[in-house]
Amino acid sequence: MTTIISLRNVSKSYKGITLFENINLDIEKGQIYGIVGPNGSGKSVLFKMICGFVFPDEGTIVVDGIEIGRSKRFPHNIGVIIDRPGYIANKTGFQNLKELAMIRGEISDEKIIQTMEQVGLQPNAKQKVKHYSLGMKQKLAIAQAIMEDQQILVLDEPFNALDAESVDIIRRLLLSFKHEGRTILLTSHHQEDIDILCDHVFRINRYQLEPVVPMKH
Amino acid sequence: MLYRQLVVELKRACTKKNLLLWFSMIVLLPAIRFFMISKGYEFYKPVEVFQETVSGIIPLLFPAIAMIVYLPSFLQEQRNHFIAYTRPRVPLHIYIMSKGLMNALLTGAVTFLLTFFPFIFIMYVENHLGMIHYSSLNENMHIPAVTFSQFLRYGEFVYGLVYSVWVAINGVLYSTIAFMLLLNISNPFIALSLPFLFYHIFNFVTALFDIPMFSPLSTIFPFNIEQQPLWTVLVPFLFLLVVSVTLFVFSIRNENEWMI
Repeated sequence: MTTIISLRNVSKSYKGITLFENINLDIEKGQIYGIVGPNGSGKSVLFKMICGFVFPDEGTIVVDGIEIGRSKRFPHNIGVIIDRPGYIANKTGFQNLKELAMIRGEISDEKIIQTMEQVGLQPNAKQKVKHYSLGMKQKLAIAQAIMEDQQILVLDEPFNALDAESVDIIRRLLLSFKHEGRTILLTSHHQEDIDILCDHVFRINRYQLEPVVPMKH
Repeated sequence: MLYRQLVVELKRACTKKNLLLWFSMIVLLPAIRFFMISKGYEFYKPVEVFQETVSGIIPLLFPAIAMIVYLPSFLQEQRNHFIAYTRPRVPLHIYIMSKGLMNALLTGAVTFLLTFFPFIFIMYVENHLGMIHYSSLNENMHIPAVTFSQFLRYGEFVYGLVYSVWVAINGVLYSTIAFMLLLNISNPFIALSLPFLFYHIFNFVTALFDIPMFSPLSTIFPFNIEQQPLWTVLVPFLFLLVVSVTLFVFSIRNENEWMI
């Protein structure tokens, strides 16, 4: 197994509150990792540090062989859902994804359409995102995280607001990504998601990451 | 990377809706004023028609006109956390820099054309159409000069070009200040109101102290006061420039608290 993400002696405080103290974590390629913990325990901050959105106070984070820091702000091939879905309200789902895809210019319209269909959105719908339900916005967030075939997926609560059928679709999609060799980190408040998907689970407890024995079905 | 992102931003900005908005601003605003003054006013020279055409509603709404060119689309991105999802694709500072530069570029282009288009039409096209009746000048008549008329000695085209560039520079300054305020102030309504309020409050204050030559309005649209030395137009401009540079430095230092 290859280590694709490595955290060494990482400490982080946020607005005067200590979140992590000297944590170490190795994430192996092609595995699904679950991070659990109560609200405010620092799950999102941990993900933001891995994505390079915020930097640790101490320690190093290496993603795909490159240390994330001032010189390399974010890993290249990473798909992210953090905090909540982000969108331009007065544009359609397709237009939203197209505008994000234009930044890298790596994928075609057909790939965007295919990704929207994969997550259960209708690519040709004229409905603007401001009229989307919460679940549809969540699917849009998932679509942007996977549409460029990102090899590392960092998904904070990817199943939020999804109906049972959509949860099932996304779970199967994530498992297929795992079989393709993609690496996934996710959080979920539903133990069932963690049990079904995750090969490794860590709980945030007293500023540390503690391994939990996963209950894989 | 910045150049590439600028190209992306230009493509994203050139939507049918935006093109229609910019076209309406460049053509309709001066056209409405032009048709309002084409009857019932007495003109002796085309340059007077131009000066009257870009008076009225354009000076009153100038900061709003400058801000409406590009900032609503930035606000849309800001409101619903779209920018957070650009971050795995492009460094944040590159993205924001490209937004700021595109805001300046497009605002500059639109405000330039907003002045230069009516100038070209009135000076070089209208006289063939005969829509304005010009009275003949006699020796005893004197047309009062206004600020920037100093450039007429180099030719009408130079005057139109220099004046339009001046309006564009001011448009860029107002919209750039608004952009940086949006980046740093949590309430977008306040961020977008401040440049507009500055413009009108300082117009009022300069009128109160009987120094209209330093009012923001009269230094950009100097047709309501008699000709002033050119340096006078730089007074509110330099003030805004200092505000702009200060905001830029603050924004760079405040990156972690940007409203994105």
